[in-house]
Amino acid sequence: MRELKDRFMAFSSLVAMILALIPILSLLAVTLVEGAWRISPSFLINEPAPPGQGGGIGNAIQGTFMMIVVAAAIGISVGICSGIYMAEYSQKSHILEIFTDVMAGVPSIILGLVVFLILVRFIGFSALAGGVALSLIMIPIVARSTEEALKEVPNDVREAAAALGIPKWKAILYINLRAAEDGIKSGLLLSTARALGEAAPLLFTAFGSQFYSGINLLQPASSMSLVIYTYGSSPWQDWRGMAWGTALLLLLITAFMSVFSRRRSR
Amino acid sequence: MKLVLEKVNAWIGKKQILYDVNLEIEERKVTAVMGPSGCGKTTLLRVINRMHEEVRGAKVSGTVLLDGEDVYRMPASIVRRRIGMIFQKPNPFPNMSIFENVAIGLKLSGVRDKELIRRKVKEALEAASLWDEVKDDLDRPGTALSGGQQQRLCIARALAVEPEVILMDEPTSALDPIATRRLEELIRNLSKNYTVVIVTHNVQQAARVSDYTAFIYEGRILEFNSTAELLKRPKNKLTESFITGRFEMLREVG
Repeated sequence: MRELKDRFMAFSSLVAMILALIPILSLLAVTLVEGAWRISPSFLINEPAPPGQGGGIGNAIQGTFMMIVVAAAIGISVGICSGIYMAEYSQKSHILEIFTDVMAGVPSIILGLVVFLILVRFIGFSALAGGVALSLIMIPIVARSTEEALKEVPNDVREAAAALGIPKWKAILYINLRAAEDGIKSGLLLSTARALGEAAPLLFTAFGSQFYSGINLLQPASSMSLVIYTYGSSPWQDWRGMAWGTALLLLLITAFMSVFSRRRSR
Repeated sequence: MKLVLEKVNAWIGKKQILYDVNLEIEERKVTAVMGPSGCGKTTLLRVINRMHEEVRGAKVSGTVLLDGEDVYRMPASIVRRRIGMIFQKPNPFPNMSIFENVAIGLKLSGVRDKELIRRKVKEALEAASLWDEVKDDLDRPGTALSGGQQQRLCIARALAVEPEVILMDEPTSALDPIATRRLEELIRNLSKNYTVVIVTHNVQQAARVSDYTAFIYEGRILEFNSTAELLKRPKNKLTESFITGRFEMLREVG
């Protein structure tokens, strides 16, 4: 009887597992079939063209890159510092943790609205505003992963540093962060992957664009996620096809980052 | 006297751990602090290099003099650089090579001269009798060494910043008998150049490594003498019962 129950349990978890894999695998399959043949050098380099005339997503790739650089610069520095504060200084870190978790749970489109109200109204639609909106997504993820990685550093290590006469701030920067390096790095990669795929917070901030914006951060910019959104919902078949190609590209980048971050955290 | 403790009392929260401890520690000798677990040995050690105050709710009164200077009137980081500490469990810094583990104290205290750092690391590893075993793989992580080697690495790390006193808190409790024997030899050697204070609950260890022994019980020093004298002719009944191993029995009878 007991063995039967055990088998039933194993069987039902297997079924659930397969059910969970179906959407993931079908997503991969469809994206590959629809997207793979669109990816070509001109697709990766050119600006968008009117329907039926080819064109590419070069400016969106560049825009994504610029915004990720802005988002990472803000998100990583603010996030790591917050994580350090929660893990090493705060006596009431559980309250801060609740705030951080709430922030991580705020729908990303609302973050975009907030940035629209406090930034876009003054500097206009721009890559900078888009980057700021994406950084708001990264901050809580980076902060929590940094905090958790630091809390896993054994107290022995802090004691050893203190006993060497090393001031606390130096010990945190040069010893504790180093001991927590793997956990922090995987948090950084995961949060960057998250920000890469977000379109909603960019609608009111980066706005999207048909052209290369150069390195001017104050120009509206396109991103790969925005291309998927606008082209995917367009009535022209070749634009929808370009959305698939972009989707595949984005999927590959984020999958690569996830795998890479997992290997690092081992 | 290298270290003098006068009327030292220590608390953690409301609980008093040490009561009016007076102790004089001679330069370049090994002084053992011996006693049953929970008697305040570790706290006594941590009061000396001001690590006690790292614990929340910790308080101290009385004076601790290092070369006649009150350590509680010096910056804690200076005190700890002059008085190094070795812990029960070896605790090398994770994600750092053997070399970096020893060099970090120097680097973080502002030494930039790479050649000087390399030389000091070598000297520290030699003094900790670890150099011959690791000289060819200084780039390996410190945590990859065996337990005994890790503890000697921690000693090298402490020696690199050139302390005058080394405090050891049951440094062999996590080691096997062979590694323990090696470390005890090392402690004897270190006392040629350093003042060593070692906490132990092991009578044989005190006998093997120390010149002086203090017997501490329930936060009070009951007896302090040269190790030979204290072990041969203990004056206090509790000391005697601890030495002869009848202590637990006695305590149970109460």
